Amino acid sequence: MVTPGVREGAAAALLPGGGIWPGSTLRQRRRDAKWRDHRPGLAAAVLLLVIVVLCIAAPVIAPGGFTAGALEDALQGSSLQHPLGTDALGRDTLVRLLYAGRVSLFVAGVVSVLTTAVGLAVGLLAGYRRGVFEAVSMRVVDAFLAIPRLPLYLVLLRLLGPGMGTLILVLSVFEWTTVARLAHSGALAESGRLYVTAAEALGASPRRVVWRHLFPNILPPVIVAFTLAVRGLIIAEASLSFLGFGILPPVPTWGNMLQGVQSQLWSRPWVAFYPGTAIFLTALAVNVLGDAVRDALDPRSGTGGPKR
Amino acid sequence: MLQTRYLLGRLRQSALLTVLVTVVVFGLLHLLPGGPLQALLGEQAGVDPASIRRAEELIGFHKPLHERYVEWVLGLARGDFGTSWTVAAGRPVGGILATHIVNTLLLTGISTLISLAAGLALGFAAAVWQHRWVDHLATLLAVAGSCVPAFWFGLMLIVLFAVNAGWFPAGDAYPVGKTGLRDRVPYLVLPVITLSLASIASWSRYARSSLLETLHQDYVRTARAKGLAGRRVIFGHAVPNALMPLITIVGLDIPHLLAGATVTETVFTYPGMGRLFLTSLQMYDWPIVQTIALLLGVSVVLANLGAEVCYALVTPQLRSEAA
Repeated sequence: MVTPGVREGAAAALLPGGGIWPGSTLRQRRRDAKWRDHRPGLAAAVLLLVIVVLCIAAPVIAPGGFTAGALEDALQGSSLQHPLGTDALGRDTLVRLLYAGRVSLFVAGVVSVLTTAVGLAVGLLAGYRRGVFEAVSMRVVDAFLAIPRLPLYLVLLRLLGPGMGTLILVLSVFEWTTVARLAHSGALAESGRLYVTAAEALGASPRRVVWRHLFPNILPPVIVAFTLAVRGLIIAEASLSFLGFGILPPVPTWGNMLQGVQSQLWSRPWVAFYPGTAIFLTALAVNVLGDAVRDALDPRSGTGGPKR
Repeated sequence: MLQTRYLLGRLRQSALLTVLVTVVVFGLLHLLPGGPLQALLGEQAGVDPASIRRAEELIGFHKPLHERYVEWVLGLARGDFGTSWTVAAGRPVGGILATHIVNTLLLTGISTLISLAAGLALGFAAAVWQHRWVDHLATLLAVAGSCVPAFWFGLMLIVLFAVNAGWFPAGDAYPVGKTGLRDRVPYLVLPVITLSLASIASWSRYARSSLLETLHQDYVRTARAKGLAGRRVIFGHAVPNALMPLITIVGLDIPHLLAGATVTETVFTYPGMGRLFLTSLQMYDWPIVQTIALLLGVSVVLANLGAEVCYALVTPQLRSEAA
């Protein structure tokens, strides 16, 4: 990240002949530098956009749905008609990947938005109002974060039954804690700052202080936490569905397409390749995009300075 | 003296937490709608209520909840973990679990050691040579490692090294009838790599930022200024201090590693505790599920205790403050 022009200008003036560079060239160079810094982020954004659009458009691309297929087409390799081949029931792998992506992205999207909102609200309130609410909510956060989630989710999904609804419910109940802890420590640090005291002295209501003053200032790390949550949830949904506890077939997800695939690894190893690649690429795009957003929002963590 | 009092306080706290864990585990498994037995018997259509009641009496489920809880805890105190319902009907849970626990501890233990060695080496190297190729490589590995789903990584390892190359077996923990450590090694390689990936990725990040922070401290600059060789500054002054915050992070991660082994064990059909947990859940073998859940809960308590004690032992200020 290039910080405001002062440093650049000073550096340029120190360069041999820096003083005689026309302003437009300097601005041009600055733009170039900015563009270079953001290249991975842009690539990630484009990749993510392509994946999301393709998945959303799945019913348009393949109007036959994810169950369309004929048994005589079963277990084919890639061909023009089936770019990624077909599965044991003759269903097109690419079509199923797209439909699976809809489900996986929907779950990750809904849960990450829900949990970030709840976590933000709880964390902000706890950090600003303190008192009993802080004590209780942060103990809950500590406890939830200490518990290994996977076995807990498995038990709950087994008791409540698999499916998209239960999965979203179970994930949402526990995943808000990371953002809550972050928002809490952020609000705690910020509420000691002078601008908060000033706002209070001017008679701002607590609600105004929280939403107009604290909220915008703790947003950057929360946005990064949001992208990490999306990444984590894509992988969590995939793992739970792979284990057979999340979303069950016939509805395809990137996780359950790999369920029981071990037995096919000898005859058709490529079947295991595609769904995982989809998960990996999506998670990677989200991750890189999150890093880029952090760099863009936080002048201290640029490519030039030490990364913390 | 002070240290003893501090340790005793921590121990008392952990004992209380363990009691809490038993309550939570029991409550989670018994209070939710349906309950284990209905779920088990409900799967077979047309079971008449009388036989459900008979089954309930057989396993003591007709008693009120608190009595069952007390019985369970008293049993635990005697080392009686109950009797398996379905997975190995009628056999004591303790006996079934023993071999699985050994397998899982072996897997996660080796994985922890390897993750520690690789994660710290990678992270520290990235900090020492910041912005050089090691650093970029470490970043790349960390990002990739945190975006790859473990189960898929395992599947790909099987395809590459078991199916194509044929170097390692694709599943199980040891050849039939041979449980010696040496016989197990080829069976452990791929699962250990799979399980370690995520922790190497995350621990190397923590190690890097911790050492970077330390390297910017005044005492490091002083050590440099008084003319110490670079290596001595890093290993003698910076690294020991950079290790301290990592104690907590690594310690608290170990229960998650233990739980995460479930996925790895499933991919490699490795007969460990995680896979037993999964099978028992699928077959509604509640005594086994309950015991493993309890063990995982206790591992969280122990990891917290261990991390705090280790941290207290290396931090002089905390030792006196806490007392």
